[in-house]
Amino acid sequence: MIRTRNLTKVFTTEELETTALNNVNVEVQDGEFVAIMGPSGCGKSTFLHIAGMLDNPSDGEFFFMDEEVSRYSEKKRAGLRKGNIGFVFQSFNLIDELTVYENIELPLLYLKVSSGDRKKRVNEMLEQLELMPRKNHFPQQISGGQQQRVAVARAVVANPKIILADEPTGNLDSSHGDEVMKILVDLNENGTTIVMVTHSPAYADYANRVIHLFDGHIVTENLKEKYDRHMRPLSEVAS
Amino acid sequence: MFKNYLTVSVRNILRHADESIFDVFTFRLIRGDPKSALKTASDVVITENIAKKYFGNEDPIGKIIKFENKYPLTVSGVMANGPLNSHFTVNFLASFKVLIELDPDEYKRKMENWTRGVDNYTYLLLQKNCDVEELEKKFPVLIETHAGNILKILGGKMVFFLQPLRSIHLHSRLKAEIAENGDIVYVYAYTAVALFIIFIACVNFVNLSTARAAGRTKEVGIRKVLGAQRGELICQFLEESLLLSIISLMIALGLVELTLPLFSSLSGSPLNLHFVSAYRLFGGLLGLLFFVAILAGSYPAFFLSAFPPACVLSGRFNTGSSDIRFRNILVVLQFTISIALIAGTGIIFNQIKYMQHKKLGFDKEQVLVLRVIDDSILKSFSSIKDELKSHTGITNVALSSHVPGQSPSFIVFIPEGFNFDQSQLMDRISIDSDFIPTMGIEIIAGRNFSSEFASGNSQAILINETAARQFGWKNPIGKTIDQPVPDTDQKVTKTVVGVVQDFHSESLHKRIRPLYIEYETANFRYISLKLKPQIISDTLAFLRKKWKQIDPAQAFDYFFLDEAFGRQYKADEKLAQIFSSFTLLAIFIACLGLFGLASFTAEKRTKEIAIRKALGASVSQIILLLSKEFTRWVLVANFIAWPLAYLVMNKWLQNFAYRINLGLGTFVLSALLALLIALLTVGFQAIRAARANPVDALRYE
Repeated sequence: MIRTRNLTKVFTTEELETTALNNVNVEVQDGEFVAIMGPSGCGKSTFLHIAGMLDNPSDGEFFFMDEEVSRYSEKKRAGLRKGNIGFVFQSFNLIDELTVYENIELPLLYLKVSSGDRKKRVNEMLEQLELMPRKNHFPQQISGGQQQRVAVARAVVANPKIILADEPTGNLDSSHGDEVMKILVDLNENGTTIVMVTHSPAYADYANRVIHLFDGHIVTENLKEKYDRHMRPLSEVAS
Repeated sequence: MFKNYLTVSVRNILRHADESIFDVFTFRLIRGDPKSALKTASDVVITENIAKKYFGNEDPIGKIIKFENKYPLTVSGVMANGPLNSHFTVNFLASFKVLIELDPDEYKRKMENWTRGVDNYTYLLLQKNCDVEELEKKFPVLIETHAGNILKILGGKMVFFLQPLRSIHLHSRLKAEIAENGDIVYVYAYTAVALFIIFIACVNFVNLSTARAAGRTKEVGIRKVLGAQRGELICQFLEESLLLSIISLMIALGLVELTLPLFSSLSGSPLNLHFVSAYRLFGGLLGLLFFVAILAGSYPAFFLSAFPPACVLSGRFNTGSSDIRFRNILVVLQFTISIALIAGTGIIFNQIKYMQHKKLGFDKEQVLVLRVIDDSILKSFSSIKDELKSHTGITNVALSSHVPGQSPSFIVFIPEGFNFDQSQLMDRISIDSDFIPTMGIEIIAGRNFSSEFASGNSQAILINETAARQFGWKNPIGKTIDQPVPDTDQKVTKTVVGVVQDFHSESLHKRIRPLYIEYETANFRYISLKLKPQIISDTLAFLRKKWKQIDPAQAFDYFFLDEAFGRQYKADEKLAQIFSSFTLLAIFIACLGLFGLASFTAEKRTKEIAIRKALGASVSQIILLLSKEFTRWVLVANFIAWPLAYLVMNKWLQNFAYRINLGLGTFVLSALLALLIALLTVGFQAIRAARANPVDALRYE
């Protein structure tokens, strides 16, 4: 599904250069459920943005469905994103001025799906995710768990090939988080590829494979010790 | 009273025309035949309104109307009332032939000598493909044929030119126009101000949209994540702008319909939306709608749609200092216009105040003026005058050909020491010996006309200071001035017996010209009475009664000199009123924008304010912090507004021969006023933000 070769991303401001990703090589197969873990600032979200073609790498190659897209313009990337990739964000990122129904419908509008078809698919999503009673509510009128369900519905309504979830349970309590994870697992069982960034080892266990990132690198065995040392309490390190 | 006649005054707008008037103009006769309605000298066509006013439901055809007790005319037709925006208005349309019959010799003289004055207005209905320039090239030959000889003798020049009918009302500024004209300059001025106001409103829209951009970046990022192309987003924002503009236009049209009567009375022009043909109005409004929608919506559309989704979603996006700079430029532009308008309004009001209070060289207060229609009453007027003067409410009575506020005759004279080739144009009026004291005019050399030796007055003249100065006369008394007699080699020579201080016989738009004042009783047309202020109503009652004895056929139709003189400034006063209304509107809109911006800024800086307060900043320090961000741009706006206002208003003041000096005072006051308005607008938001509980603000994050 997606493949990277020596993927590098450097952020440059006036005075500072930050390497968010450094020669990252990853391959995600069709139908896989991959979790990406790592401490804050290790490059997880950056990786996800590049995987979702929201951003271009500074160096290296990125293949999406065997097509090398790293040098594509935003216009071409938007065209590929439509219908192929669904996103779920930690802070839900719903549009506050649109109702639940309208938020879920939005990707279908950009895909120029016909009105009748849109209505059918949105209502299916609403039923599936038990959101029908809330369809005319605005995001600020529903709970966090419900908002994330709406975000998942929006991500899935266009039947994308892959879902990229950036800490989907980060802003939810455990019961709502479990709810969302169940939805993702169900989707994966139905064949949708999922790449999920998470801090939670418990939720990472839902995945088939876990990739650890640290300081922009994928942690391999020879870096695992450094990673473990970083993750130990300070009192142990001092001794 | 005449039982068989309807007597009307010529102030009811009587015009004379030849029969072809119905071929040239589209006057619609609803009674009578256009081919024969003005066939004879006794025919008159009246309007529907006049027919209803004087004859009610009776058939007016065949009825007789007597004009100013001079000549009776028979109603031969009724024409439909003309529209308000006609080139000229007419209530009674009589035949030209009656003027010929009244004085055939004078008519003959005028036909043979074109330099005896132009009394007619000539209208040509041209063929569709007529080359106007080619036609105008033929006029010099015409002039040479009919007036070439006399022009050679006088050393003068005559030029004929054509004016399109439609352009006369707003563009023609000739002497003796057929009707009071408007001025295209005012149309341009009001249009410019209206465009400024739309510009300020568009600036508001752009400013507030970009200020809200921070709140919409997330939406833009999400839409892009979901597959929206930049073009689709641009269309979305332009559509939003267009929708807002359409709603605004609907509301605006409603407001125009509601407020147009008020604006008509303010401007003194009977305005009506139906003046403009529907398709032109519709086309114009549509064009304006799209222009405003695109102009106001473009910056937010292109600016917001450019946000990169990754940066937005990861919080790395900052609207940036260029965005803030752009908004500040817009604030400066808005306030430049507002300050310029305030300064302009102040200057207009100052000029009007100056004109109203400037010493005119005569005293126009409590002077009642009566127009003499039947000049036979003047034959025995000296006894009437004495009778009038004996009334306790009347201090003086005078006779004259003109009163201040009316354009005098403008005649060629040859002062002593000048040749025929150096003849001078002078204003000419005729007065009696009471005119100077009645009007309070000062004699600075020599004497007034004598009331005791009236026979000597016919050879005497007075001149004004300007005449003496222009002729280079240090001692004018005893000098002579010749007036050539038309069509002859003769001249009339009169001697200067007195010099009057310059006085303004016309509005301060015009410079005082050399004035020739003679004592010619045949020219007297006005009776001026100086009244005592305390008992004016009693005096009026007395005069009303007395007038019935003096001229029974004529209504007691009077006016007060100060009011009549003041009417010359009507257009300027209207300009001042309209300008000040527009200025208030412009300031209001600019303040709305500033208020909105201040509100967003305060909201954006809530955390910063809370932190500053937690660290010890006082409320006044916070208010100062928030206020100075905007008020310094208002101060900057002055640097642009002052020269702009100075240039424009200096040009406008050139219309006045007597005008104020443009000092710094008005500009400084405008700056202070704009600053005060800005502070009040921004201050409210600043105080609210400064007084908020810091805990609430920190919890906001």
